[in-house]
Amino acid sequence: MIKKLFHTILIVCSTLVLTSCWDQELLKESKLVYGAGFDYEENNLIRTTFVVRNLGIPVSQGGVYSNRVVSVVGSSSRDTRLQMDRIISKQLSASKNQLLLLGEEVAKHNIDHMLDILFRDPKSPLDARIAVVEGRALDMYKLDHIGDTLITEFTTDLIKGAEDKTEATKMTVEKAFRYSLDEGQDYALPYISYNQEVQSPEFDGLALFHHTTFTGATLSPMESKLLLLMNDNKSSQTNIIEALDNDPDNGFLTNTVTISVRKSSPDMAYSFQNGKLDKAVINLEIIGNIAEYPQNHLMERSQVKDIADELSQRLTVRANDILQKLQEANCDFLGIGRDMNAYHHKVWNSERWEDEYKEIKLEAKVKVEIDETGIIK
Amino acid sequence: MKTNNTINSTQLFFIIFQTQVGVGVLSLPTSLYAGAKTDGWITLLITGVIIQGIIFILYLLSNRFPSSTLYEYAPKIVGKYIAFILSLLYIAFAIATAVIVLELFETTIKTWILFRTPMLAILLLLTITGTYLAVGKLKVMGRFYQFVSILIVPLVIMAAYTLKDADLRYILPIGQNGVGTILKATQKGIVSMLGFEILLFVYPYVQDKGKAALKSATLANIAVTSLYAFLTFTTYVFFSPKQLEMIPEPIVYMLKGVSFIIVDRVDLLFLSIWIVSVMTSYASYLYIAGKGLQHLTKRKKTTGPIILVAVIALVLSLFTHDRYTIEVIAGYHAKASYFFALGIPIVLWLISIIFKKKEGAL
Repeated sequence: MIKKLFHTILIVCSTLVLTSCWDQELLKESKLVYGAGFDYEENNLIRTTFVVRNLGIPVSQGGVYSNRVVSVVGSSSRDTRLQMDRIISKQLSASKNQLLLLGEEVAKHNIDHMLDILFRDPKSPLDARIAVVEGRALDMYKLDHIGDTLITEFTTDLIKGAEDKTEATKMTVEKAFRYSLDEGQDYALPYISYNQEVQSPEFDGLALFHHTTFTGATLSPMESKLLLLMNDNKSSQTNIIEALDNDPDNGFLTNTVTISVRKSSPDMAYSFQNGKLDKAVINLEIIGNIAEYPQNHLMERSQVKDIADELSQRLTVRANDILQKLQEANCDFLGIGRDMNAYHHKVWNSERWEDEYKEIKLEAKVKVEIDETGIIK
Repeated sequence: MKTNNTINSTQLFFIIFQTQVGVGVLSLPTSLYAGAKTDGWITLLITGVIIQGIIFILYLLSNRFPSSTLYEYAPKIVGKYIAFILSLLYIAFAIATAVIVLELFETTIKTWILFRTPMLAILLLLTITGTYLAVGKLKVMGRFYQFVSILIVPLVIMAAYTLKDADLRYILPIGQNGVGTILKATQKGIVSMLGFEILLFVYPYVQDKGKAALKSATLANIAVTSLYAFLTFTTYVFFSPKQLEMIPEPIVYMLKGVSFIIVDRVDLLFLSIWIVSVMTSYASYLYIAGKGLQHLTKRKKTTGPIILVAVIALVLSLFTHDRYTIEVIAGYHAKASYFFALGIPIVLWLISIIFKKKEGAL
């Protein structure tokens, strides 16, 4: 009995020395970064902006959340980070950061330079969302709050919302790392602009990237949607709105149709010539319901078919425009290079691909099918 | 005496399995990629087949002397003096392996989890638990290994979860780098799957010798090969090829980006489980070295030798080594391991066949 007691005491005491005393990081002793931004300054300097959460009075005791926006200029991300430590009380911790905004100008330089610190540090948040901002990231963060939502949460939710509506793919720091080094696949980051009219940030489509640099070309949210459908990235809700001109003079305000996409299946077909990829055709099939069509009631099946046919035609034109933009930006968003490497390895040459991609003939064919009209005809 | 210290087939399986699964698993995908590019996971499957061959030879050798370890039957095959040198070499090899396990463990922990903790504290944690385990009877080791093997399940689930972001095109077309490179890279695979040589030292304690033991060893090999091939495969379809060149521990890196609603930093969970696997391999090598020392010094118990070995390994591992130095040392160790896991056993086996040396037939 005594022996048993002795053992118990021994075990309890020994657990006390098992805690890691050297590496503890207490929340009360650190300041959490909720958003980070990078901008380009003259002479190859980087401006880093951190949004740090103030931990004042807890919300349960009537306090409110508030942020402090700090911004410094330095020669590298780490340099600015060290400067940050000098102007922020307590230990700065970026490990819970969920948002990373890149200024337009800095994104046009090599983004790996800013992100290296994130790739290298074991405590960095690889699952933080990353996006490009029109203008400067600092200006966006300076807005501080929109309504009663803090800017960091607001922007993150904007991006998440766009992801749910098939307007953007989920791009985290980890994914950016993955694609920026990939030879046969490019990517696009959400593009956030400032809407003067409502005075708030706005999700404004996708910023097209080639390797580690922003190409300067962007797609509108509508175009992004169609591009993502072509890339088989459909998420839960996708609404496509398109103007029609079947009867222009019926006195209606609108002349559009909106369909909500239920299913979409893209299919790539390649054809080759002289040991090179010559042409790639994307056949996109969209099956959807009518979500809005105020002009008329669809009593006949043929009416629905007419609308679908016209939509097919118009979306085909749009899709081809998008593909042209992609090629002009040299952004292989659809991963055609990856496809070549994987399925047509003989024609693949990573060095040649850089120039080859612009030369290939890209064509899209969209076919829309509508089989439901909502709860009215 | 030996009746209460025997292990059954299941325990043999887990002893071999846990000794094989260890510190190497983290860097395996990268080192295979360096050799065979995106076909590294195939290399691993081939390595499994090769190791199966080696295991068969080890089994044949052990089965000629079913009630003694390599230290005990070596004198019968090659004579007292050579056997003495061989035993010393095996002890040195086991200690060297333990040192490398400690070193790699320490650098990994230092770079991934505990940045400021003194090196000695980290090493002591492994040394104390490992020594405690190795000092106990082999049966205890077997039971413990069996018990902790359940931890492999969450490890596999975590890795499987990342498959949702996988892109199969990264590894296609299969075999793009040619059969030559795939075969050439097998040597890198063998190194990380070392540990099966423990069969030479635990065989006399196995209850059901013969076919049953061979079956356990084979199953252990299959289990390790499939686990490694699976983990390697998940990283290969997750990272784009250029990334694999620069990330030394891809499995951990891959899990770093995973977050569930309430669980963040899955890589830390993974490493915590990995530590157990490291500890088991470490304990196994302490056991091999301790057993040899016990035999050479003709002691009754292994406790003293194992503690001595643990102290030697700890002192040797205390010399500060950076990541690159350890890679160089591990390279030498890898070359040496061919002799100890393959070369010497084969020679012993051949001699024992030619001169008809067998247990009982002196």
